[in-house]
Amino acid sequence: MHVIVNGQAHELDAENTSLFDLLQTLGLNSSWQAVVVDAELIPKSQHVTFELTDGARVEVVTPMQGG
Amino acid sequence: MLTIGDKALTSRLLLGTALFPTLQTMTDAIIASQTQVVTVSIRRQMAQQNQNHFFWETIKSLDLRVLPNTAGCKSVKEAVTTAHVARELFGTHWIKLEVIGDDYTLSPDGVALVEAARMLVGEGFEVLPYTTEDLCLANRLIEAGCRIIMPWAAPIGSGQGPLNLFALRTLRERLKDVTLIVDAGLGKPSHAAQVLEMGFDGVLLNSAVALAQDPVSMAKAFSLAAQAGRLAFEAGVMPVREMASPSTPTLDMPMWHQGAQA
Repeated sequence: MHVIVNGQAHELDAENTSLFDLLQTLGLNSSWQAVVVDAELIPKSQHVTFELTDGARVEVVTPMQGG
Repeated sequence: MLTIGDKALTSRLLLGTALFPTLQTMTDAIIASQTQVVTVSIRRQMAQQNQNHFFWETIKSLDLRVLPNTAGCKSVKEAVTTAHVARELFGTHWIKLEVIGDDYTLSPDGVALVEAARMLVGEGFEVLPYTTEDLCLANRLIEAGCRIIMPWAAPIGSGQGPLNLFALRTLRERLKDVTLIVDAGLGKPSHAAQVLEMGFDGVLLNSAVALAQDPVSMAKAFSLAAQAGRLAFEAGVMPVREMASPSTPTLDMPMWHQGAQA
Protein backbone atom coordinates (compact mmCIF):
# COMPACT_ATOMS: atom_id res chain seq x y z
CA MET A 1 0.00 0.00 0.00
CA HIS A 2 1.35 3.43 -0.75
CA VAL A 3 0.49 6.84 0.65
CA ILE A 4 1.68 10.38 -0.08
CA VAL A 5 3.17 12.23 2.89
CA ASN A 6 3.89 15.92 2.45
CA GLY A 7 4.11 15.37 -1.27
CA GLN A 8 6.38 12.30 -1.15
CA ALA A 9 5.39 8.68 -1.80
CA HIS A 10 5.79 6.11 0.99
CA GLU A 11 5.17 2.37 1.08
CA LEU A 12 3.41 0.88 4.11
CA ASP A 13 3.35 -2.81 5.01
CA ALA A 14 -0.05 -4.35 5.30
CA GLU A 15 0.10 -4.86 9.08
CA ASN A 16 0.95 -1.30 10.12
CA THR A 17 -1.48 1.00 8.42
CA SER A 18 -2.66 3.27 11.20
CA LEU A 19 -1.83 6.96 11.03
CA PHE A 20 0.07 6.58 14.29
CA ASP A 21 2.26 3.83 12.77
CA LEU A 22 3.07 6.00 9.79
CA LEU A 23 4.06 9.00 11.90
CA GLN A 24 6.25 6.82 14.13
CA THR A 25 7.98 5.24 11.14
CA LEU A 26 8.77 8.62 9.62
CA GLY A 27 9.84 10.23 12.89
CA LEU A 28 7.06 12.79 12.61
CA ASN A 29 5.99 12.69 16.23
CA SER A 30 6.50 16.22 17.54
CA SER A 31 4.07 17.48 20.15
CA TRP A 32 3.48 20.52 17.96
CA GLN A 33 2.05 19.10 14.81
CA ALA A 34 -1.34 18.40 13.28
CA VAL A 35 -2.24 15.89 10.61
CA VAL A 36 -4.61 16.21 7.70
CA VAL A 37 -5.60 13.18 5.62
CA ASP A 38 -7.34 13.75 2.31
CA ALA A 39 -8.07 17.37 3.27
CA GLU A 40 -9.69 16.52 6.62
CA LEU A 41 -8.09 17.13 10.02
CA ILE A 42 -7.55 13.92 11.97
CA PRO A 43 -7.45 14.91 15.67
CA LYS A 44 -4.51 13.54 17.62
CA SER A 45 -6.84 11.44 19.76
CA GLN A 46 -7.74 9.44 16.63
CA HIS A 47 -4.26 8.80 15.25
CA VAL A 48 -3.97 5.32 16.76
CA THR A 49 -7.30 4.12 15.42
CA PHE A 50 -7.29 5.92 12.08
CA GLU A 51 -6.55 3.44 9.29
CA LEU A 52 -4.95 4.77 6.15
CA THR A 53 -6.17 3.63 2.76
CA ASP A 54 -4.20 3.12 -0.44
CA GLY A 55 -3.37 6.44 -2.07
CA ALA A 56 -4.18 8.53 1.01
CA ARG A 57 -2.71 12.02 0.98
CA VAL A 58 -1.25 12.90 4.35
CA GLU A 59 -0.11 16.38 5.32
CA VAL A 60 1.79 16.88 8.59
CA VAL A 61 1.91 20.53 9.56
CA THR A 62 3.51 22.60 12.30
CA PRO A 63 3.44 26.24 13.46
CA MET A 64 5.25 28.81 11.35
CA GLN A 65 5.59 32.57 11.13
CA GLY A 66 2.59 34.34 9.63
CA GLY A 67 1.16 37.79 8.98
CA MET B 1 -10.22 48.86 25.28
CA LEU B 2 -10.09 46.52 22.30
CA THR B 3 -11.95 43.27 22.84
CA ILE B 4 -11.50 40.10 20.80
CA GLY B 5 -13.88 37.36 21.81
CA ASP B 6 -13.87 37.44 25.59
CA LYS B 7 -10.39 38.94 25.83
CA ALA B 8 -9.97 42.64 26.65
CA LEU B 9 -6.71 44.03 25.29
CA THR B 10 -4.88 47.16 26.35
CA SER B 11 -2.85 47.32 23.13
CA ARG B 12 -4.58 48.18 19.86
CA LEU B 13 -1.71 46.86 17.80
CA LEU B 14 -1.69 43.29 16.50
CA LEU B 15 1.58 42.13 15.00
CA GLY B 16 2.50 39.51 12.43
CA THR B 17 5.51 37.26 13.01
CA ALA B 18 6.71 36.75 9.43
CA LEU B 19 9.58 38.26 7.43
CA PHE B 20 11.80 39.20 10.37
CA PRO B 21 15.52 38.77 9.68
CA THR B 22 16.03 36.60 12.78
CA LEU B 23 13.95 35.03 15.56
CA GLN B 24 15.69 37.30 18.06
CA THR B 25 14.72 40.41 16.10
CA MET B 26 11.14 39.15 15.92
CA THR B 27 11.11 38.59 19.67
CA ASP B 28 12.58 42.02 20.44
CA ALA B 29 10.14 43.68 18.05
CA ILE B 30 7.16 41.92 19.62
CA ILE B 31 8.25 43.08 23.07
CA ALA B 32 8.92 46.65 21.85
CA SER B 33 5.50 46.81 20.19
CA GLN B 34 3.73 45.95 23.46
CA THR B 35 1.30 43.89 21.44
CA GLN B 36 -0.75 41.20 23.14
CA VAL B 37 -1.74 39.36 19.97
CA VAL B 38 0.51 37.95 17.25
CA THR B 39 -0.51 36.22 14.06
CA VAL B 40 0.89 32.82 13.18
CA SER B 41 0.46 30.31 10.39
CA ILE B 42 1.10 26.65 9.57
CA ARG B 43 3.39 24.80 7.19
CA ARG B 44 4.50 21.28 6.37
CA GLN B 45 6.53 19.56 9.07
CA MET B 46 9.75 18.02 7.81
CA ALA B 47 11.45 15.38 9.95
CA GLN B 48 14.86 17.07 9.99
CA GLN B 49 13.59 20.63 10.33
CA ASN B 50 13.84 22.21 13.76
CA GLN B 51 13.41 25.85 12.77
CA ASN B 52 9.62 25.83 13.20
CA HIS B 53 9.97 24.18 16.58
CA PHE B 54 12.23 27.02 17.77
CA PHE B 55 9.77 29.57 16.41
CA TRP B 56 6.84 28.10 18.31
CA GLU B 57 8.82 27.68 21.52
CA THR B 58 9.76 31.37 21.27
CA ILE B 59 6.18 32.50 20.76
CA LYS B 60 4.97 30.37 23.67
CA SER B 61 7.59 31.87 25.96
CA LEU B 62 6.19 35.37 25.31
CA ASP B 63 2.81 34.55 26.86
CA LEU B 64 0.71 36.20 24.14
CA ARG B 65 -2.58 35.35 22.49
CA VAL B 66 -2.04 33.91 19.04
CA LEU B 67 -4.25 34.58 16.05
CA PRO B 68 -3.69 31.86 13.44
CA ASN B 69 -4.36 32.78 9.83
CA THR B 70 -5.56 30.87 6.80
CA ALA B 71 -3.01 32.55 4.51
CA GLY B 72 -2.75 31.08 1.06
CA CYS B 73 -6.21 29.52 1.06
CA LYS B 74 -8.18 30.01 -2.12
CA SER B 75 -11.37 28.10 -1.42
CA VAL B 76 -13.92 27.64 1.33
CA LYS B 77 -12.79 24.05 1.86
CA GLU B 78 -9.11 24.98 2.18
CA ALA B 79 -9.85 27.76 4.62
CA VAL B 80 -12.17 25.66 6.78
CA THR B 81 -9.70 22.76 6.95
CA THR B 82 -6.89 25.18 7.82
CA ALA B 83 -9.02 26.65 10.61
CA HIS B 84 -9.62 23.15 11.99
CA VAL B 85 -5.88 22.48 11.93
CA ALA B 86 -5.14 25.82 13.60
CA ARG B 87 -7.60 25.11 16.39
CA GLU B 88 -5.96 21.74 17.07
CA LEU B 89 -2.42 23.06 16.77
CA PHE B 90 -2.68 26.33 18.66
CA GLY B 91 -5.54 25.54 21.03
CA THR B 92 -7.50 28.65 20.11
CA HIS B 93 -10.84 29.22 18.43
CA TRP B 94 -9.68 32.55 17.04
CA ILE B 95 -9.02 32.55 13.32
CA LYS B 96 -7.90 35.27 10.93
CA LEU B 97 -9.88 34.16 7.91
CA GLU B 98 -8.23 34.79 4.55
CA VAL B 99 -9.66 33.46 1.31
CA ILE B 100 -7.65 34.88 -1.54
CA GLY B 101 -9.40 35.53 -4.83
CA ASP B 102 -6.59 37.01 -6.88
CA ASP B 103 -2.89 36.15 -6.72
CA TYR B 104 -1.68 39.48 -8.05
CA THR B 105 -3.49 41.79 -5.63
CA LEU B 106 -4.18 39.22 -2.88
CA SER B 107 -7.74 40.53 -2.88
CA PRO B 108 -10.11 38.56 -0.71
CA ASP B 109 -12.76 36.46 -2.45
CA GLY B 110 -15.81 38.01 -0.84
CA VAL B 111 -18.28 35.29 -1.76
CA ALA B 112 -16.08 32.47 -0.47
CA LEU B 113 -15.13 34.54 2.58
CA VAL B 114 -18.75 34.91 3.68
CA GLU B 115 -19.48 31.22 3.16
CA ALA B 116 -16.37 30.12 5.09
CA ALA B 117 -17.12 32.62 7.86
CA ARG B 118 -20.66 31.30 8.26
CA MET B 119 -19.44 27.72 8.54
CA LEU B 120 -16.70 28.53 11.03
CA VAL B 121 -18.88 30.75 13.24
CA GLY B 122 -21.35 27.84 13.30
CA GLU B 123 -18.54 25.65 14.63
CA GLY B 124 -17.74 28.07 17.44
CA PHE B 125 -14.83 29.98 15.92
CA GLU B 126 -14.23 33.67 16.59
CA VAL B 127 -13.77 34.67 12.98
CA LEU B 128 -11.74 37.75 12.10
CA PRO B 129 -12.15 38.10 8.34
CA TYR B 130 -9.53 39.84 6.21
CA THR B 131 -11.70 41.78 3.78
CA THR B 132 -11.83 44.91 1.64
CA GLU B 133 -13.30 48.22 2.77
CA ASP B 134 -16.61 47.34 1.06
CA LEU B 135 -19.55 48.13 3.36
CA CYS B 136 -21.99 45.61 1.90
CA LEU B 137 -19.47 42.79 2.14
CA ALA B 138 -18.82 43.76 5.75
CA ASN B 139 -22.54 43.60 6.40
CA ARG B 140 -22.68 40.09 4.91
CA LEU B 141 -19.85 39.01 7.18
CA ILE B 142 -21.67 40.44 10.19
CA GLU B 143 -24.83 38.57 9.15
CA ALA B 144 -22.66 35.45 8.98
CA GLY B 145 -21.79 35.97 12.64
CA CYS B 146 -18.50 37.88 12.58
CA ARG B 147 -18.13 40.31 15.48
CA ILE B 148 -14.92 41.80 14.16
CA ILE B 149 -14.26 43.00 10.62
CA MET B 150 -10.75 43.55 9.28
CA PRO B 151 -10.76 45.79 6.20
CA TRP B 152 -7.52 46.29 4.31
CA ALA B 153 -5.92 49.69 4.01
CA ALA B 154 -4.11 48.68 0.83
CA PRO B 155 -2.90 45.39 -0.71
CA ILE B 156 -0.98 43.10 1.67
CA GLY B 157 2.67 44.01 2.01
CA SER B 158 2.38 47.11 -0.16
CA GLY B 159 2.91 49.63 2.64
CA GLN B 160 0.84 52.20 0.77
CA GLY B 161 -1.36 53.15 3.71
CA PRO B 162 -5.11 53.77 3.51
CA LEU B 163 -5.97 54.18 -0.17
CA ASN B 164 -9.72 54.64 0.09
CA LEU B 165 -10.34 56.97 3.00
CA PHE B 166 -13.90 57.66 1.94
CA ALA B 167 -14.84 53.98 2.09
CA LEU B 168 -13.02 53.44 5.39
CA ARG B 169 -14.75 56.48 6.89
CA THR B 170 -18.09 55.19 5.63
CA LEU B 171 -17.42 51.77 7.11
CA ARG B 172 -16.66 53.30 10.50
CA GLU B 173 -19.70 55.55 10.31
CA ARG B 174 -22.14 52.79 9.28
CA LEU B 175 -20.81 50.08 11.61
CA LYS B 176 -20.60 51.99 14.85
CA ASP B 177 -20.99 48.97 17.11
CA VAL B 178 -18.71 46.57 15.27
CA THR B 179 -15.05 46.15 16.13
CA LEU B 180 -13.03 47.24 13.11
CA ILE B 181 -9.34 46.41 12.80
CA VAL B 182 -7.45 47.73 9.80
CA ASP B 183 -5.42 44.83 8.47
CA ALA B 184 -2.88 44.96 5.65
CA GLY B 185 -1.23 47.68 3.63
CA LEU B 186 -0.04 49.96 6.42
CA GLY B 187 3.52 51.12 5.81
CA LYS B 188 4.42 53.63 8.48
CA PRO B 189 3.30 54.70 11.94
CA SER B 190 1.41 57.74 10.64
CA HIS B 191 -0.87 55.35 8.72
CA ALA B 192 -1.73 53.56 11.95
CA ALA B 193 -2.30 56.85 13.75
CA GLN B 194 -4.49 58.04 10.89
CA VAL B 195 -6.94 55.13 10.99
CA LEU B 196 -7.07 55.10 14.77
CA GLU B 197 -7.83 58.85 14.75
CA MET B 198 -10.77 57.94 12.47
CA GLY B 199 -12.14 55.65 15.16
CA PHE B 200 -10.93 52.26 14.02
CA ASP B 201 -10.45 49.96 16.97
CA GLY B 202 -7.06 48.52 16.09
CA VAL B 203 -4.46 47.81 13.45
CA LEU B 204 -2.83 44.58 12.35
CA LEU B 205 0.49 44.80 10.54
CA ASN B 206 3.59 42.82 9.79
CA SER B 207 5.72 43.95 6.84
CA ALA B 208 5.92 47.56 7.99
CA VAL B 209 7.79 46.44 11.10
CA ALA B 210 9.62 43.36 9.83
CA LEU B 211 10.97 45.06 6.70
CA ALA B 212 12.06 48.28 8.44
CA GLN B 213 15.80 48.89 8.65
CA ASP B 214 15.44 48.66 12.43
CA PRO B 215 12.39 46.49 13.14
CA VAL B 216 12.60 46.87 16.91
CA SER B 217 12.54 50.69 16.82
CA MET B 218 9.79 50.59 14.21
CA ALA B 219 7.72 48.31 16.43
CA LYS B 220 7.98 50.86 19.21
CA ALA B 221 7.10 53.66 16.78
CA PHE B 222 3.93 51.83 15.73
CA SER B 223 3.03 51.24 19.34
CA LEU B 224 3.30 54.94 20.11
CA ALA B 225 1.41 55.85 16.93
CA ALA B 226 -1.44 53.51 17.84
CA GLN B 227 -1.64 55.04 21.31
CA ALA B 228 -1.51 58.58 19.88
CA GLY B 229 -4.14 57.84 17.26
CA ARG B 230 -6.57 56.37 19.76
CA LEU B 231 -6.02 59.17 22.24
CA ALA B 232 -6.68 61.71 19.48
CA PHE B 233 -9.92 59.94 18.53
CA GLU B 234 -11.09 59.97 22.12
CA ALA B 235 -10.05 63.62 22.47
CA GLY B 236 -12.18 64.57 19.46
CA VAL B 237 -10.46 65.92 16.36
CA MET B 238 -11.44 69.46 15.38
CA PRO B 239 -13.65 69.95 12.32
CA VAL B 240 -11.93 70.78 9.04
CA ARG B 241 -12.61 74.29 7.69
CA GLU B 242 -12.54 75.44 4.10
CA MET B 243 -10.80 78.75 4.91
CA ALA B 244 -8.31 80.19 7.38
CA SER B 245 -9.47 81.16 10.82
CA PRO B 246 -7.05 83.09 13.06
CA SER B 247 -5.99 81.33 16.17
CA THR B 248 -4.60 84.45 17.85
CA PRO B 249 -7.44 86.66 19.16
CA THR B 250 -7.88 89.85 17.08
CA LEU B 251 -9.69 91.83 19.78
CA ASP B 252 -7.76 94.85 21.17
CA MET B 253 -5.04 94.76 18.55
CA PRO B 254 -2.42 97.55 19.07
CA MET B 255 -3.16 100.75 17.14
CA TRP B 256 -0.29 100.54 14.62
CA HIS B 257 -1.96 97.55 13.02
CA GLN B 258 -3.78 98.49 9.87
CA GLY B 259 -7.50 98.73 10.51
CA ALA B 260 -7.20 98.82 14.31
CA GLN B 261 -9.82 101.02 15.94
CA ALA B 262 -8.61 104.24 17.60
